[in-house]
Amino acid sequence: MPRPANEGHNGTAEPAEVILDVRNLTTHLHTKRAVVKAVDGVSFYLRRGETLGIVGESGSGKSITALSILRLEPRPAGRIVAGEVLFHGEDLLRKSPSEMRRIRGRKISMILQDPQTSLNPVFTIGNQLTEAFAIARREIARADLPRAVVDVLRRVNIADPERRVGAFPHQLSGGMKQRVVGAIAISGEPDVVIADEPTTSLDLTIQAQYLRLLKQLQERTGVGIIFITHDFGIVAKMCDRVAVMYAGKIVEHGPVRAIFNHPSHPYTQALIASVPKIEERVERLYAIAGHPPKPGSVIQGCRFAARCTFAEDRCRREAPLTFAGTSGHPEHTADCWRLEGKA
Amino acid sequence: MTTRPTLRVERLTRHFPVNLRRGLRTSRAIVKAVDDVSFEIPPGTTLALVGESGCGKTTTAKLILALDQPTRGSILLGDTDVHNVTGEAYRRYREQVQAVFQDPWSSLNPRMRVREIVSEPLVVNRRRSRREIRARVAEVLEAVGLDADHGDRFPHEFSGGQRQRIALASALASGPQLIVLDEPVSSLDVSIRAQTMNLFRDLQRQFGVSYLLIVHDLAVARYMSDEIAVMYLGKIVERAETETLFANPTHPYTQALFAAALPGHPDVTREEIVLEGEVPSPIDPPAGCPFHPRCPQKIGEICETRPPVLERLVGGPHSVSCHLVGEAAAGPDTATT
Repeated sequence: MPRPANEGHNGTAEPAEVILDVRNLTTHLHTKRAVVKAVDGVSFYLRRGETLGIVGESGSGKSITALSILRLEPRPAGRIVAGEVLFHGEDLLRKSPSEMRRIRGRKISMILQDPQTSLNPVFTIGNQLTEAFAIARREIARADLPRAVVDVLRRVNIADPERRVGAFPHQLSGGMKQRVVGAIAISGEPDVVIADEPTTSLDLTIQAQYLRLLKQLQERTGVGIIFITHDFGIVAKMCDRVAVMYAGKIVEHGPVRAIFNHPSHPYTQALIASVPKIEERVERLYAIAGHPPKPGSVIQGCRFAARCTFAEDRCRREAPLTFAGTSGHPEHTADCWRLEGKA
Repeated sequence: MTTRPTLRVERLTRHFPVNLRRGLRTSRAIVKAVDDVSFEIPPGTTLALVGESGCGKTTTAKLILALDQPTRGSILLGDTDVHNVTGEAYRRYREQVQAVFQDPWSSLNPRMRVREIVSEPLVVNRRRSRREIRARVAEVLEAVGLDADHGDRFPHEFSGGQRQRIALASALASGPQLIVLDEPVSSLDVSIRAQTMNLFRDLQRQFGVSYLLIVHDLAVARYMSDEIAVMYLGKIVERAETETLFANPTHPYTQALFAAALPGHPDVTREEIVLEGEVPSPIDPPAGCPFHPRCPQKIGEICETRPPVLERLVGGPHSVSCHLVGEAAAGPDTATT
């Protein structure tokens, strides 16, 4: 993948500084039967104030990628075996456990899919937010903590925050709980928030509220967001750039409009064509044949070849290289032999 | 073959009594899970019930599957009123109405072979010879795109999409009139959803079965259904042919739901309709129109005091329950009177 260019997309604005630069990240999961290359040489970057979507199906490695950035890969099975995670130029993979603890929640925080399991059921939300502030924002005096807690709840649009601080998680609805998780995530005023399918468990109108909230918070604080999702609708609504993952690798990456208008990898093309759209009645959806490779299976050549309608002998023999600029945009890349010589 | 019957749901109501505890005091209250709901599903067509959690879609499905008794109202398949029949007629209804559920990991018994799972509706409901059953199992497995010899395997040997095919084969085995599809693709991976939805549609054409599709994803509803009913707090607030509804969503809640739906392309921008707050508790639903506390188009006192009725709009099979369209309506929806 080409490194971020220095000129702006449209020539008018300077692109913001790159705050997170992941290079060749490789995480293996050691199971009884095999070594699963869950994340297999993944590279991407995130600029201040932008949203990067990482799209993939279950088992594509998107969540393990997110966890690996924070060195939270599942133990003992998971091991980061190669790569760099450069955060403001410093490699997080070389940090000591105590240094990492100072980064998690303060510099980089995370919102998980299920707010029910992210919150502790036996403490009030006020309690849990106070704890988050006490750890992430030591400069706040103890006496000021209650006010900080109420303020942050108000910032995530929780009505009547003075009363809600005494509530236990079970007394709140799913949408409210997820907003509390959001409040904890931003309590440390992080540079990066990694959101792993944060709205999958929410209802449609509540999801819309939550996505709007994330955008507002981003506009106000300039936080960079990595959005892990399987839903192209969320990508279309929220993301500036997209990385599409398949079987542990990023197969296509680019600005969101380039991906939607000129998807270059057959997998991306097929995925976009297979999603029903609310804007139009499609006569018949394109259906991708087969299913993703089993984790741990050894694949020669392109991972998608078995399901690809364009696959040739070479695809099954040699893993494709990354080709850039296929849609005319220098940041648009895809791993497919069909693009060779076209860029 | 005789003409297939239509499913008619008339004024269906299901109230659950609950005990509310306030300190040491207990008071009785009623949850109106489904409240005066009517619709029809003609043979070979699909009705989608859309709405958010707690709107009553699943309770409606349970009542239709005869897994629960309604408080009032009736469910008719042809001439059979399911909650007024017993014995053979009841068994036949159960055979004619089948279901495919959301999660194929919990809906298939892990200790049964696929053959046993698929043949269960046949074994339970009617006397058939072993050979007949075997032939039917092979037939439906083939229809859903599996091999007949997959019948000897166990569910864990299959992927999610294949499991959902097994569930569908089992639902089809008894030759049903109606299959309730409760979020049938939402637990499947994106690349598997399209093939599964296409399969549902192909089999509908092949077998003439009708579907009641319970779904929260409006794009899936548009792709799969002929008619859509939007539910809110136990009531149908809008009902129309699918394309009519997408062309002209009329109830403020439907409009908000459409506005909240995720776009299919980054250049799609929709008017943002901000709904304040969340769905109120069905234990103590708001008086008047159940949507009035969140409604951005509330017209006044009438919304807070008088519940609107589902009325048919001029010029189409399109009914809306909202005071805003009261004057424009052609008259009450015939299905509700």
